[in-house]
Amino acid sequence: MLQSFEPARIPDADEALRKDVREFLAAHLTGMPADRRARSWMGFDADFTRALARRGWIGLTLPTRYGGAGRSQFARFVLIEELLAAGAPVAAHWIAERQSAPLLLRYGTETQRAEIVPAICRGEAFFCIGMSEPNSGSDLASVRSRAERAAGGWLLSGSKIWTTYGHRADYMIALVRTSGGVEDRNRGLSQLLIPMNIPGVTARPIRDLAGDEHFSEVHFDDVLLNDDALIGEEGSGWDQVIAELAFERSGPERIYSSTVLVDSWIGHLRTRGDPTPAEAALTGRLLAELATLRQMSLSVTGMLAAELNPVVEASIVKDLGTSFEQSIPGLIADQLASETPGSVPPELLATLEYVASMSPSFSLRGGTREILRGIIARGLGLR
Amino acid sequence: MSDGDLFLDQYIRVLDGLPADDPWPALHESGFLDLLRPEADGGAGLELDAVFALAVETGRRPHAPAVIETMAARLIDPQAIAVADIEPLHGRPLAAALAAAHMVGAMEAIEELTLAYALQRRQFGREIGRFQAVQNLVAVLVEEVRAARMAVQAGLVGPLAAISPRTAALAKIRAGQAAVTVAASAHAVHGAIGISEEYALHHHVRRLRAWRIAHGGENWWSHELGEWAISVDRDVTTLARGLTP
Ligand SMILES: Cc1cc2nc3c(=O)[nH]c(=O)nc-3n(C[C@H](O)[C@H](O)[C@H](O)COP(=O)(O)OP(=O)(O)OC[C@H]3O[C@@H](n4cnc5c(N)ncnc54)[C@H](O)[C@@H]3O)c2cc1C
Repeated sequence: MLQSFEPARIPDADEALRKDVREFLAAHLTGMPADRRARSWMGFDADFTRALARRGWIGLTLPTRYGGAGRSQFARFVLIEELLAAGAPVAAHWIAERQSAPLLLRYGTETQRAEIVPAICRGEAFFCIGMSEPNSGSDLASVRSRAERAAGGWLLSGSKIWTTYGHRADYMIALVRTSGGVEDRNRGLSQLLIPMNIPGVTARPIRDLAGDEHFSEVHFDDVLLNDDALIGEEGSGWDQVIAELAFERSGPERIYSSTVLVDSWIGHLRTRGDPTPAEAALTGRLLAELATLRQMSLSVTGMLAAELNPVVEASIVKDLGTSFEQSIPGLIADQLASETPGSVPPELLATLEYVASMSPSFSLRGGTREILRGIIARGLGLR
Repeated sequence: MSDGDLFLDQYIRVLDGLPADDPWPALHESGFLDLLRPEADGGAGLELDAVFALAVETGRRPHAPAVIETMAARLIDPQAIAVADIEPLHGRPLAAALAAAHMVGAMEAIEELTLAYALQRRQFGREIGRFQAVQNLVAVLVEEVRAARMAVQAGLVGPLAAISPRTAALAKIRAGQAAVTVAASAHAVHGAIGISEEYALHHHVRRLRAWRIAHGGENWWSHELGEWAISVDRDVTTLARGLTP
């Protein structure tokens, strides 16, 4: 079940994209403080998203016939690695590009594909993920939101929670029960495409511990949906959601969340001069770990490019990657604690404060560490 | 089957057939000791990626002699035999990178032992590997082994002489970190049997420990790598990309 991580190399033609992306980012991110860039793929900026779209950089791997660029997984790796490393505010289109568009292409109707996927690539259709509910977190198969057949479509009731940018999205792809009861577990679940602006759908932001509003709670009160809201087969929601999670977990965003902090700190060392042995050693360790994780992530990209299904391997990279990202603020804080009070730049301290407070979420979003290790154990034949 | 695979197959057969008392005459006869030498010189001119594969197989076998180091030594002294330390001949980067490659082999052997034991040993009426706490230990062990392999393998391409201190640092730092967790988790899963002289685990762990501290440990290499990184005015992502060829 567990495939080996083969070293993968980015083809030159794809690597060539990096220069253009860097130039674009230099032009668009100047003046944005590090503590804002540290929000990375949680930072929402529709104008930035549209500027990316105008360059043809949303939906890079999607077929040109649906508005994509038809390029390789490695080209997308280069693009999103640069976006993440720079701390570009990519949240508006991130979910749509990463998982909703590929899901619609695989399971959607031709109408869904032809109308929505090109809009995603233009940066005009934003998506949110409707999996978690108040009583269903890790135990996703226990979802209670329910859609019943009604004349001409479906009648939906229930709630979702922790929905990233549910209050700013145009569509949700939701996992809901369409037959049976909670005791039927992963049987009787389906995925529905829900426009967020129709009657009965309300989305309210939930403020996070840093004062930001990214996730939300979403309620469905007798929402009437057309027949074509169903994505794929009725009752196949579980298998589809597993496939969607593979897109969600396989990218390099699980290693770069603290990169802006690392660069700010090393920048500070360079300005200040005379790094201590402990500072140099920590820099070396962080760099070695980043290089390792990056190669592993690239290897998973190679598996995607070869149309393998790297579910277990992506879980390994996500678990290692989030542990790395989470360790960074504590390690850097300990180094900064040795400096004379008042000598550390306020922007670096604000960046540290943000990353330190948000870092526990890195191993929750997209499935918790414990759940990932369960997936790995299954891949090893232990379950 | 590529040349490298063919060598690997033969190499495994040679290693597994070596007499315990004095392996060197048989190794000499096998021709393997000269494989790194240029083809014009009777060797096969093997490069780092092929050497990595051979070193992993050597590292997997707890009683294998220092074949890879001897192969490297013979690039300089054609008569060399049973050379354990190549740092004086080839410098620290190559010595460290080869130690790291052996560590990957030792850790893979430990992973296999541990996985097999978790599926075989029964307590409370089931295999211990069915317990979530044990699954967690094994999952982390496997993650570390994969990370170490990637860190070492990704850098080991091209000719031996071309190895950079950065590549060696990446390999030695990551393998060294993994070694600590892998040894501790493997012992935890094994219980008392892992402490017995008769069971193979300690042979692997002992070699792993020795390679970890040979030719600079994590702290030494991290310090080297970090000083370099701070002196180059580039972002960490660019620097990370540059650690591997
Ligand atoms: C920033 C952020 C953004 C998010 N965005 C979205 C989104 O857009 N859409 C969405 O649907 N969800 C989203 N989530 C929710 C996320 O998917 C859940 O937080 C996650 O699945 C865990 O669920 P929970 O928080 O209810 O924790 P719980 O499932 O209640 O878990 C609590 C603890 O118990 C452990 N645990 C639970 N079950 C087991 C078990 N079987 N074995 C061992 N340990 C177990 C967990 O690992 C964890 O440590 C987001 C979360 C965060 C933090």
